[in-house]
Amino acid sequence: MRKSHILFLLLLVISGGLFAQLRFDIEAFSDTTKYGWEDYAARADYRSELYNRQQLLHIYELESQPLTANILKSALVPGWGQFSTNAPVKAEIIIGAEVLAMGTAFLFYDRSMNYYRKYQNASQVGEIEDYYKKARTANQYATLTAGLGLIVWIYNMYDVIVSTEEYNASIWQKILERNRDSALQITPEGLELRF
Amino acid sequence: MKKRSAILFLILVLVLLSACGLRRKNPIDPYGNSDILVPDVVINLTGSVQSSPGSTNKLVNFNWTANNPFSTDGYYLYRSMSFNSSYARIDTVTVNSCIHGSKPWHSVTPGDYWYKVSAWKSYNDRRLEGPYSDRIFIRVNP
Repeated sequence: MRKSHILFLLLLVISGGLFAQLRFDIEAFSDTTKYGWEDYAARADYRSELYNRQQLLHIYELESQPLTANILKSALVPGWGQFSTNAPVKAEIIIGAEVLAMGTAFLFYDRSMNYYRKYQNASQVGEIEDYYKKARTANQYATLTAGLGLIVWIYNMYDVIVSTEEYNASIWQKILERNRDSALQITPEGLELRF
Repeated sequence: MKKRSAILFLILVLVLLSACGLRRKNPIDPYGNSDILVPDVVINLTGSVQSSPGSTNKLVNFNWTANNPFSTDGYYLYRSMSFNSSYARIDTVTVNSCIHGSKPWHSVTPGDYWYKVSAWKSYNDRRLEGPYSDRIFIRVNP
């Protein structure tokens, strides 16, 4: 009885070891060639390349525009975010359209309220109807132009996202180009040192 | 395609919003209050100069067909120097006749004038004035 127990435990230990060996392949783990490193020097090159990329990423983070900040800017003042992404023409068009639409809306609203006050004070049946129609027409124009302003604002919000992404992509390209001019270069194949 | 649909939807929303116009808040607006009666238009307005030539006190007598008292409490008399220029309210009466020049504040000097009349009805502290009558021409000789 005791012998069979010992045998069972022995089998359990052996099978557990075998199973663990199957699960964790130490040879595959220690194989450096799987990362493309042929030797220690290649591994050192890779580390150096990684370090350089991290440096470039740091420069990119300093020079790029944060998307959230640009969205907030454009939400407050349409076109502001586009100005930050170095797209002044687009920004001017957007802010111009917004000011034009909202300014026109305000003028029509003011006219509408002026006629509406006259309508409220009118006592002659013809004048009551006349002032009401004028107030309603001006109010409709005010709503339409304010709506146009809203459409411009929505487009501005969409555009600031696209502009910021494009700007950041161009910044990354510029950083890479700047880096290309230096003696030490990062290429798809690895690091390249020019003399 | 999605972009175009979104733009069309936005335009539709705007048109619907603009259709939701201003509320008719004038308490004597007959289109906003079904219990408000509009005074009838005054018809058959006639006028004639009463005073004799050379007299200093000129009088112009006006008559018109009385409106139904159910919709009319009184009348306004207006005068202008020409057909299309602005008219000034010169008298308020509660009967279907008026003598312009009979009251201390009236001023009737020789000249050409246009007159018109409208009816009014009281609603609380306000008066709803009906449509204007046809305008008539009166020449007051010196």
